[in-house]
Amino acid sequence: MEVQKVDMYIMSNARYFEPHQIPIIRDRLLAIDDSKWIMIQTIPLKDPQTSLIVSLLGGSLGIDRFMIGDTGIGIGKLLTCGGAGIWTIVDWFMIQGATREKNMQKLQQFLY
Amino acid sequence: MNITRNRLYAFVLALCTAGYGWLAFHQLSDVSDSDTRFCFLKTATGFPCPACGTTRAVDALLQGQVWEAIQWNPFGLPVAIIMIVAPLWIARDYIVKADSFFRFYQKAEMKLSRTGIALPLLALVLANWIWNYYKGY
Repeated sequence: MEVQKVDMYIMSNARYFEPHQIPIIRDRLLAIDDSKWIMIQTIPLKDPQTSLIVSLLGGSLGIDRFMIGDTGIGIGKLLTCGGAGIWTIVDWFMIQGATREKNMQKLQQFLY
Repeated sequence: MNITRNRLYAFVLALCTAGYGWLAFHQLSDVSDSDTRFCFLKTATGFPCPACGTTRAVDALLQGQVWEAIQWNPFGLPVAIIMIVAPLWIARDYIVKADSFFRFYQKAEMKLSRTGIALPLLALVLANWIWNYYKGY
């Protein structure tokens, strides 16, 4: 793909991914075909800051995990009162990273 | 968290161990139920969460009282089933070097994410939450 398009994508979506993933994403985007551009642009990426707010408010019910697509872990949190509250607090710190990892998984389907 | 077979197994085993530990503490300790509450939501807001009463439900199941367990909290049934089945299934997978529990988890996760299944389950959870509130937990 064109460098201009790729850099525009990176600039507008960098906050959805881990910083160490950005160079890899850029390299892969430059290497792939132009026909995938529309698909890549329309991937529904989750905002890590929104996840954090949801985690702070509804983390003990597992809503944060359901939101990012970790249904199994969400059910685990829901059934255990947020892991006795401990899991809820741990997830306040983990959820942003988990959201970015999920975003990367979604993007990876189109990168390789 | 990028979930892999070993990570999932370690996580589920740790969770089940913590669950058994909590259950043993709950059975052996003399303090009343209201003193041994660990619910974050209940402590913070005074409102019960959908899972309040699950320990008492599993306790009732251990004594063979299924109906009483459902009345405490229906969540006790899936929790008890997971706590019994998951460690055995994972132990079997470790012995025969398979990943059947991991594949089951992934399939279950995909099915549960479908709107047709997720919405009725959400309605049940909400109904259970309202019931918990009326039970006065």
